[in-house]
Amino acid sequence: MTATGLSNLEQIERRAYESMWEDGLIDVMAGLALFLIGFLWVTQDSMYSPFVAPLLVPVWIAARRKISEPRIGVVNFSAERVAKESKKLLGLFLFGVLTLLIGIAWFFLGRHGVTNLLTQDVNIVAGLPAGLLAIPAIIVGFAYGLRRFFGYAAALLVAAVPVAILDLHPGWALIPGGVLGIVVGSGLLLRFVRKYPLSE
Amino acid sequence: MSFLFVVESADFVFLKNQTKLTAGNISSHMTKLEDAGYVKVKKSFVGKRPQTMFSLTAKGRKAFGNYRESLHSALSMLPD
Repeated sequence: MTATGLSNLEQIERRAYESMWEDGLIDVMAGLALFLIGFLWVTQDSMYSPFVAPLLVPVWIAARRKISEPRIGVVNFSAERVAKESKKLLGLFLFGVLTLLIGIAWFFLGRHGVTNLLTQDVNIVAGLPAGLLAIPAIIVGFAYGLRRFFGYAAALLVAAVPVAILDLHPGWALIPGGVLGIVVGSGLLLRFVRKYPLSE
Repeated sequence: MSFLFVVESADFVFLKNQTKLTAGNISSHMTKLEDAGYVKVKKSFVGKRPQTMFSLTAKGRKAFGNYRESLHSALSMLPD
């Protein structure tokens, strides 16, 4: 046994956990989801958008098994870590439900003319989806230590502003964030593949 | 041992990446630890790819805990 046994065990565990997200696949998948949903909204095919995330999740799992696990390895984290991650996922899920309820409430308020008072010069509704999606991106950034997700949140918020001011279709505000995720994720994936070559 | 202590189990590739040791070094260390009863080794296949999973036994976790305490005590007795 070496002296590394005296290293901060929490740091070792955290670094091991963070290394599992180095492949950039989560960025590519999240970016692809945003891009596709935005594209489907803009092209008036929004009825297909609920299928995007459920279809991409198995793609992500398969990609991790095929690309990442042979290079980074497989690890089963402790029960404490698993419980911690489950709570984070539950928090994100509850936020998603809350977002959905806000959207539904806004829709019904809009039908009764209540939201008109807030949208005289700026159509806040147009920028709302991107604005709401920026929040889980920020949460993921904090919860999983993935600071680049703050950049994606910023991209969504920045895109939401001109969409609201110019009263464009809300889907347009999702597309730049999606493209950013795909590009950054692809770059991370390329770096990951070079850093962890397949062993013979 | 530190890397195995903080997780339930990990495979050979993960340990190699985290410890930056060579494959030969890891094999050698794990063989000795397995012989001492500190590490459990499970070999399987994922598709056509062999996978070797390592996990600390209860004896191994206790031994590592004792080792940390011993070193900590020894270092705390050193003058500043």
